[in-house]
Amino acid sequence: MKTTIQAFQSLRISVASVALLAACACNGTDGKGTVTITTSGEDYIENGLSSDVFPHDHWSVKYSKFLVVYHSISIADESNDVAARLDHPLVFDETKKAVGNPKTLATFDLQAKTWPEVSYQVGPISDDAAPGDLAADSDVALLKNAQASLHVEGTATAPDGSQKTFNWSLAPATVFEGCHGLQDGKDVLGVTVTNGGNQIVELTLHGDHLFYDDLQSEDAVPRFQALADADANNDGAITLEELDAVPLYTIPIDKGSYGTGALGNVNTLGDYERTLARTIGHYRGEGSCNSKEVNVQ
Amino acid sequence: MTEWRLANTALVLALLAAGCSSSTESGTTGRIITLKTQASVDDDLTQAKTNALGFSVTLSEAYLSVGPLYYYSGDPVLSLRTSPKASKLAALSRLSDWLVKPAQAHPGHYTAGAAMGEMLTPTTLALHAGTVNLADGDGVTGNTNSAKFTWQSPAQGELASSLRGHVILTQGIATKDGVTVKFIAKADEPDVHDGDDKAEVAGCAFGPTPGAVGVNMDGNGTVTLTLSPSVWFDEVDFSYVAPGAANAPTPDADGVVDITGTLAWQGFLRGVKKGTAYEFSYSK
Repeated sequence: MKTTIQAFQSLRISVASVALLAACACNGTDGKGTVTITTSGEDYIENGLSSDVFPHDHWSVKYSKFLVVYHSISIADESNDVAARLDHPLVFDETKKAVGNPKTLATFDLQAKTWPEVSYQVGPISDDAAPGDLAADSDVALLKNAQASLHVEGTATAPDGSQKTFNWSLAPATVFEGCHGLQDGKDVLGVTVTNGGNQIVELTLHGDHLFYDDLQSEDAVPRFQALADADANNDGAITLEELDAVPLYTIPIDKGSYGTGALGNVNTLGDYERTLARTIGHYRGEGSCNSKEVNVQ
Repeated sequence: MTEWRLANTALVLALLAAGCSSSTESGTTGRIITLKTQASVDDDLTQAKTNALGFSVTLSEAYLSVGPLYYYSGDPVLSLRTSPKASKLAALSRLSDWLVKPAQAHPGHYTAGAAMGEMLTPTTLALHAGTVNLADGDGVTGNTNSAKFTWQSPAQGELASSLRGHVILTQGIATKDGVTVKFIAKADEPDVHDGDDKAEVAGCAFGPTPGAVGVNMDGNGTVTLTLSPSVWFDEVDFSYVAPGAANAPTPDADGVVDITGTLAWQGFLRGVKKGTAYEFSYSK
């Protein structure tokens, strides 16, 4: 095993050095290009999650509102020196499908080279937040009034046709950093700006994550039955207060493991939903980032 | 393997000679080190500890099967963002990790990153014994941010028989509002499986500040596994197994109830799977 560590470290150091050398080599170029940052909730948020997405309990979900505030975006070099930032927070309703041009946050002029550090932050809401493409002033006001950075409303339908609604204002402050995703068919860390070119970088939100049944496992799948069962007064509306009243250990295993991985502070379904809200951010479709909590105290 | 390493080194040296020098941390990472290992218990087990549900819990007996321990460069799952200075180091570390093996995990899911060390000798711990030395492990110098605790089954070591086939075995007393419950709480290997069906807790914190890139193992040292059995019991609602409770287990001749299969036990199993019960640190 010692040789495994040795070999792995040797390779790790070697490729990092090569990458840094490559970055050095590119620093001398004079070319420029642009990066356009866009956002999308894809089919799951724009059109809904069919019962096929819930392989065990076969519920389906249709969002009617999915408000999110992008608090910041940055593009930086390998030393994390930032070359481009978002001017001010922007609010989007990801249920609103763009027609023609995508919903756009900003366009940056950058030196033509690879910028390996692309990060963005969801939340917190702040006074300078403004509506982005297709969002309304009332959407911004809703988030500000609730001091929320993510607000979701929707209807879930059981296999028997019965329905539950949800209307949750959540306040994650999460930075998604070290993003990587496909560019021209290759997995690229950050974004490669080409001379005279324009790269579209989509910040993609995954609406199925709010229903995952494990916080750490790669095998997590969406479920809804345990959330539906949390509707204690059976009025058809699942509230965050009702989710807070459900300890995870009371959920029967056939309704999901609701595993929390190594996390030590997730004890109720409410805690669980607030934690899932920190996992929704992706990059250029199926690309991903490292997500970290931002301390806003 | 040696030839392979030489080839890599030669490649780097050749490229360095080509014109770019870098003051990266690469010069201080990757040296093989010996890591002594010890286990300590964060809680004073001679004292009662009150859990989140108001039960005062005292353990008279507590055994734990410990399997191999692994240390990684990746941050614990959903950890706090680091300082700007540390973010620069994180960026570099991410770059090298990504080049070796791009992280494909969903955001929020733990990505271990590079292997930084390990202790491979299983043993059994009596948690009342205080700090115990485990076998030596080995590793490489560099920033280490997370760890994986594993359970060994069947248990090994001199105290293995004390576990009676389980991977955790505890006995104690819980009291609240004048009600006293004498209990046995135990777990078998399948009970402690995580969402990936493994008997392990991946993504535990390594170092005092979870998520910070600052635990720099820069030489031979000691890795301490700090155990917090109070975390195991923090969500255990003993009212489900108290005398007179509906469907409470039947006590044995000494009045002790085995909580296995009850909602109290489900709370116990959630506790034993929490990473906050297994924290790692490094000292020289």
